[in-house]
Amino acid sequence: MNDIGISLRDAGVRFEIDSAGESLKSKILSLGRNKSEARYVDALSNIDIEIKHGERVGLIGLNGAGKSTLLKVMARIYPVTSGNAETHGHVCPMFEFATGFEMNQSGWDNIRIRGMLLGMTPDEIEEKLPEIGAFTELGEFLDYPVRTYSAGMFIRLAFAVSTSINPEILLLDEVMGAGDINFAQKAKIRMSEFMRQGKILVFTSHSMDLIRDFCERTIWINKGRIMIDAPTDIAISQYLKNS
Amino acid sequence: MLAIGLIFGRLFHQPMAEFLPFLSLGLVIWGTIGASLGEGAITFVGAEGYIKQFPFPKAVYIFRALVSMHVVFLTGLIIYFFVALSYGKFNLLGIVFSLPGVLFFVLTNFAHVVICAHLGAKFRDVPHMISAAFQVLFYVTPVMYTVEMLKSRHLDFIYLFNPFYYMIEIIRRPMLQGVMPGWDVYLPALGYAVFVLAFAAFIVKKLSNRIVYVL
Repeated sequence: MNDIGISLRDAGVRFEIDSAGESLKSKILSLGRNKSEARYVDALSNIDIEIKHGERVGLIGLNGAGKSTLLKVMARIYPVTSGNAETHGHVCPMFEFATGFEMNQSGWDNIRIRGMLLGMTPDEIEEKLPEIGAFTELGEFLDYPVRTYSAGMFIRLAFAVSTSINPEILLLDEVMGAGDINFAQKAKIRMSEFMRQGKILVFTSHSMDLIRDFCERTIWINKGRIMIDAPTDIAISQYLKNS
Repeated sequence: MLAIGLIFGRLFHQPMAEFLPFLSLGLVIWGTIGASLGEGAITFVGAEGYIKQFPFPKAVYIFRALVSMHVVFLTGLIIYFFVALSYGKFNLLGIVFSLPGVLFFVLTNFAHVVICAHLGAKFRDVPHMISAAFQVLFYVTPVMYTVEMLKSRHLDFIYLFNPFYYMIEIIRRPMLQGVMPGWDVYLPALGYAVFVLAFAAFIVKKLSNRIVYVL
């Protein structure tokens, strides 16, 4: 099974919402009482998807429909609570750019750390380091600890590192709006190059134009279920008609 | 450490040459146990940004915490070696004899981190509970005072049923006295290690898959 691919069979994810809250104290105190009904949310249910080498898939749906959850299942971050989920290949997840930094280390060190987290070898990183540093346009700020950075600077840094790798499976979660006007322009170009490199691309967006640009197949998700899984034009017209 | 040593050495009427090495080593070991519980409890919570973004095995975060606290442990040991040297108590053979103890010690800390990391992520009040409980434990564990002081006051029970005492003794006794500790120390320490390791395995089985959902 060295083939790159994603396969979900009847997969479901259920979030449990513990009414006793998140503290051990209240848990112990409520032991004696009658157990209140455990509440849960089915974030995803009965998902069947096969994605093969070379496919570019768009995910559309309203906020809270389960798009991000589905991406995290594909990335093996969320274990499914029912059914089966398998992902073969090196995954490059790009979900959020604002977390996963070592606050007290310099920008350069964070580039190295993030690069290794994304699967680069130390040699590769050293080789690409000047190029990544230049792309961020952060200049001397890269020598400062990243806790002094602004939100926009974090995004520049993370974006530059994340897009410098050669991804096998690229999972993107609505990340186009990165940085100020200048950077957004630059980011857009780099992102398109990057997305064309991936052997498998799955991404969520609310921009139908982007989806049309990149994906030949689109999945519309609503309330954790697949509404339609079809060629992009058909899926988008259905989606626009019905929501 | 020096200040505590000087004050309490006087208070307890202890000879400094005995008491200072005893105390410094005890504090180093105690601090590491504390870290395995306290830092252990925030291991997953602190790594939330990584756990939610990357599909790495959870063990990565456990070992990250484990390594850093044992680097601190080794640094502390160096301080102890200086103290011991300056009182002429440095014992090379004792260090060799303490190695099996160090092994059990690390294993026990590993189990502590695993257990606390999972519980600390699931129940956010656990880190506070641990730090409160651990402060109390400090006073009922022979770190600051010696076992002899307890015995002479018939307070033996304080250490006899305290697993942390044995965790300390399997390292402290050989290092200070240059002798291999007997089974009376090893067995409880080993028993506790096996117990926490088994509990850790149970916790992993129960909670590991749920960690990303509770963060």
